[in-house]
Formats: sequence, C-alpha cells, structure tokens
Amino acid sequence: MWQGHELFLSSLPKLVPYIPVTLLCFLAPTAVSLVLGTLICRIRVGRKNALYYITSLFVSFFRGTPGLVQIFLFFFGLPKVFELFGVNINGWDAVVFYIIATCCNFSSFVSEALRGAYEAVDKGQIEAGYSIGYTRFQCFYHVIAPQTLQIALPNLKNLEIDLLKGVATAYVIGAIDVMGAAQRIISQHRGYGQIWILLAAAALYFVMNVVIEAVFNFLTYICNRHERVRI
Amino acid sequence: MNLNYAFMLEDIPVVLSALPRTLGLTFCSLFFAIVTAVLFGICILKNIPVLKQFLIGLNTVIKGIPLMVQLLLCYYAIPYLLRAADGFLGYVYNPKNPSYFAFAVVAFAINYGAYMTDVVVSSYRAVERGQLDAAYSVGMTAFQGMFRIVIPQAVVISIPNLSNYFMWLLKATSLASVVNVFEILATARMSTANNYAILEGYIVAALIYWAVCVIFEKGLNCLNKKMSRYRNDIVVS
Amino acid sequence: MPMVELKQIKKRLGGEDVLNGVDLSVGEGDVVVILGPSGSGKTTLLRTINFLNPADSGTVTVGGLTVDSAKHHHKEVLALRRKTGMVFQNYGLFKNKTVLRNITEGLTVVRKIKKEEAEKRAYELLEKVNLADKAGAYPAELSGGQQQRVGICRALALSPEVILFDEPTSALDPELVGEVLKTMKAVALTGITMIVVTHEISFAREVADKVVYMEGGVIVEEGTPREVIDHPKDERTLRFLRSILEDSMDYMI
Repeated sequence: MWQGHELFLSSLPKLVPYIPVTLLCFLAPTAVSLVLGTLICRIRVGRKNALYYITSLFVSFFRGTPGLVQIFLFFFGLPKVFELFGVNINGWDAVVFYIIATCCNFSSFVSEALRGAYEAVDKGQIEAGYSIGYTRFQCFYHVIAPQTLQIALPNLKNLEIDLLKGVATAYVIGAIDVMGAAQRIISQHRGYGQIWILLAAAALYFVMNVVIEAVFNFLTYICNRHERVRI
Repeated sequence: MNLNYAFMLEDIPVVLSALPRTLGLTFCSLFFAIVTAVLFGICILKNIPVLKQFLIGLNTVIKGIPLMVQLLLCYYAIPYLLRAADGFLGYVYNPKNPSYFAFAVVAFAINYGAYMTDVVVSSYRAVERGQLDAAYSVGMTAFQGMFRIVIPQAVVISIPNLSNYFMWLLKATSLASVVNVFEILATARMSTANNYAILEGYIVAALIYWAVCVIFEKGLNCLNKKMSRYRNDIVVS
Repeated sequence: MPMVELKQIKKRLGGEDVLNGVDLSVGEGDVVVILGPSGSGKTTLLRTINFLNPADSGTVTVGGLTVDSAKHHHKEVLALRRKTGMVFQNYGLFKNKTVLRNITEGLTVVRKIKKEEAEKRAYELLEKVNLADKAGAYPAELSGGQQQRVGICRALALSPEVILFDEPTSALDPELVGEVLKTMKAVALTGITMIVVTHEISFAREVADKVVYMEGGVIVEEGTPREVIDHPKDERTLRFLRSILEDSMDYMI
C-alpha cells in the first residue's frame, strides 16, 4: 500500500485527458440550469396556476431524491420513454444521460436558491423602481435581477461546487470522466493500488474545485463592489 | 409505458425493509460528524497554533474532493489500516467480515464533519460577546456562562444549517450502495436481480426516498418554525 | 472605609494608554457619576472594576475585598463580581431567556437560592418597574427602555454592594430615556452604592453625590455636582460641559 506513489504519478497523465469530460458534465448543467432554474423560479414566485403545481412537484422530486437514484432512473427510464415514440436512444453515451439527469436536478436547486434570494430582495427597492417610472421589464432587469443574483451568489457557489464534485458519481452508469477513467485503471490493475489511483483522481478534482471557487470569488467580488464603496 | 406494475407493488415492502439501514447510516454519520465538527471547531475557536491552521487546511481538502472518492478511499484504505492495527491493544483483525457500514460512516462523518465545522464556528461567533459579559456580571463562572448562556444560543442559531446538512446527508447515504452497504438503493437493485425489472426497482427506491425526504423536511420545518421566535431573539438585536 | 476604592489603575490598549493611573474612592451609599468625552476611558475604567476588562496594574477594592489587577486569580475575580452588579449600554439581557429567567438566573445559578424564592424576588422587582406583565416575554419582544429596566432589575436582584451603570441610556431612543432615568433615581433613593457612566448632565446634577470628570485616561476633576458642573475649575471640564450644552441647545432649535 505504501509503495504506490509511482502509481499515483503514472495515473495522473492517464486521467488528465478526461478533464474535459468532467468539465462538460459540469458546464452543460450549469448553462441549462441558469435558464431553466430562472424559469422555474419565475413560475414559483408567481400565481398558483397549473404550471405552478407542476414545477413544484418537479422541484420537490428532484430535491427530495438522491442524485444517484436520478441518474439510474434516467439511464434506464429515458430509453423506454423514447421507445414510446419509436426512437431508439440506447446508443447514446452515458455522459448524455448523466447530463440530462443532472440538468433536471440542478435546475431544481438553482430555482430554489434564486427563489430564496428573490424573496430576500428589499421590496422597497422594487417600489422605488416603479416610482421612477420603470416598466416591469426595466424593473426586473435593473433592480430585481441584479439584487437577486447578488444575494443568491454564495448559495450558487456552493451548489456549483457540489455539482462539480457530483460528476464523480457519473461512473456508476458507465460514463467515463476522471473518476470513470480512474475506476477503469483500477480494474486494469486487478485491485492493486486503488488508493493511489483514487488519490490521483482526488487531486485533479481538488484542482478543478479550487479554480471554480476562485472564479466564483471573483464574481462575488464584482457583484459586491457597490457595498464596499459605502464602507 | 411498459412497466411491471405488479412487481413494483411487491417490491415496495422489500425496499422499505432497508429504510432502517439508511436511517441508521444517516444518524450514525450525523452523530460522528457533529462530534468531529465540535472537536475541530473548539480547536479553531481556541486558536490553538499549528493545529488550527492544519485543521483549516484539512477541511479545505476534504471539501474539495468528491464524497464518492472519499467513500471509495475509506472503503479501500481502512482495511489496510485495520490490518496494520492487528494485535494492537488486543484488537483482532478479521478480514473475512469487514464492516462496510462502519467504513461508510467514517467517510460520511469526515466529509460532513468538515462542513459542520464551519457551522459550529460561525454559530459560536454569532453569539454576541456581550452575552458572556452579562453572565460574568451576575457572577457566573466562565463554565456557567458558556454552558447556560453562550452554547444554548449557538445551538439555536445552528439548527437551520444543521437541518440542511441532515437532508443532504440523508440523500448522500445512497452513495454507500457502491461500497456494499445494503441501504435502500442497493437493496432495490438487488431485488431486481432475478427479473431484470431494473427500472422498476429504481422507481420504487426513488418514491421511498421522496416520501422520506418530504416527511423529514416537513418535520424540520416545523421545528425551525418553533425555534424561530427564539432565534429572532438571539440573532436580531 | 470606602465601598469601592481604585488605586493607580493603568491600562494600555493597542499601544495607547487608555487609563493612566486612576485613583477613585466611593463611599458606601454614594452615587458617583463619571462624565467625559468619548474615548476618555470612562467605560474602560468601569469595566476594570468587575474585571470584564482587567487593568494592567493597580488594585481594585470592593466591599473590603482587594484584588491586584496585575496578578488576579479567577476565584478572586469571581468573588469580586459577586459583590457587584452591572447594567450595560446595550442592555446585555440573556437573549435565550425570558425576562423572569434573566432576573432569576443569577439567583438560582450563582446564589443557589430556591427557584420559588428567586421568582418571588423577581416579581417584586418587576412590580416596581411596572413590568410584571412582561415576565414571560423574551428580551427581543420589549422596547429598549423596558429591556434596560429589566437589566436594572437583574442587577438589583443579586443585592450587590455596588451597581455599575455603563452608559445605560445612550442606546435608547430619546423618548425612552426618561423612564430609565426615573428607575435609576428610584434605585439611588434605596441607598445602594452606584457608579454611573453617562452623558446625562441633569441626572448627575440631581442625583449624584459626587461627579468625576475624566479625560485622556486620568481624572481631571472631582467633587460635588455643584463644584464640577456649575463651577468647573479646569479648562477641559468647562469645554466639555459647554459642548454638551450646545448640543442640547441645537435640539431645542
């Protein structure tokens, strides 16, 4: 066990080529969820119509079940759904299933983070917007959206970091990201030195994590500029 | 859709029988995570040199690595450690019958302990310094002031955060299915081994998780609402 | 023998001399008001008396118990704190306890008095400040003035030999200052020893047996209210009193 550090070093270059896959599994849900999450949030802060209850059920399900279970559900269930329409998607890569499942999951969390932030926005700010003659859109664009985003940012940062780390679960359906590649090397070594290979994967995730955290800290810095001036 | 509904009904009690194991895993992990967090938190709050910096660094590393990786690391590494400990203080290592449940608890306790350390530290710091002064002014000892005034307030402040982590942990225990712990997800998968109704098994697992999560969420919301009168008193000044 | 005696109290904070050798003697039953501009060290001085911020050197004597600031033992400090009560600027009520518990806490935990007896005493005090109906409320549900009156009750409940008041009215809205000052006057009439840090000149003039003017970490002038407030001898005292007077003139306009 203790003599495996050369295995650590030799597996690093084998794992690095899979970083783009991990990043894809991270960036695609991020992009989709910013749109979908905003939409769901908009519906959930509005009037209680059918759409409200449908999205509420959606959010409750995806927040109330483990991501791991959702991945399996999409991996085994989505082909059956497409079968109904005569489309065979069994050939799709597991990464695609992971991304679709994660988009649903992550949108739910993003919508809740945004909703919480929206409710925390000082309503006087919105009234102030209308009082100077803003239209509804102008009020949303100039007052509500920036302030909501600023309040939601710390939460979003934590969610994004979780999203990145969650990619390590994608290997359970055979998606080959950094973790999947590590598992593959482990099976090639027939169970020898798993710890060192896993540590190599851990190191790569840690580095990605540090980068993402830095990006978000920078965003927070930009968003909070006006607060600092006052001090 | 072409699903085996009869099997799903049959499968519910089978999968449900694993609920105690999922809950056991959650509560055991929560307990040890809190113990870890309190110990780490004390070291950080007491400003113990070197140890404090070490723990902050350790927490950053733990929080920067996926839980799945940590779980597998524990799964692979703990047997080595136990073998090394064989014979120490009369401990007998039994390679035939490893406790995967305990390995998983270790992984969850470390991971969530790191997150909860922040909760412990920030909740303690959220209690006004003046509260301790007030305790001294009526003649309490440092110990009395700590245990009668400061810590009760810190606990109340920490409850919303702790209930969040509890919900995360409850769902995260499904990861233990990959390291041979037969909680809900692993049981669901195994129950479908004979008839290939794999999707049905996962649907049953999902529904059970959903129900359990909704129930706990409602319960914790109730608790939080009850505590909020109290909490407003403490936080708002 | 004086009730409270401070000798050569010195304290440095952040490289600055906050207290520069202060001597103060307070007789039993006296009401001493400490005046001074902000940053003059008056609050720091008050907090060195019950060792919330211990001084670097000098001795503190309360009710016959003398503690050396430079080498104090925590048991001495505890005994000394049990001879004093304190009323805080921001009220300092225990936020996780009801009004009643706030008052009985010191009696049951520290004095080991039975709960029923402690509650009886608490209700007596609450009656006097017209807050008996708020016994079950939490501090955050009270106004600042009500909270401060509870704070005074809490200090009184322990029957301390001296009560320290740390700017008890400066966190209050102007219309609530009166009720707290009224309570303090009532406390003064009971004959208990009080040391009060405040900006309320009128309170000092009416109630104080002795007024102390501090500036730059030393006592500049002390004497009866008539001597210090109406006929100050020192230039600095005069300047301070004039500035406070002008402030209140501004209010009137």
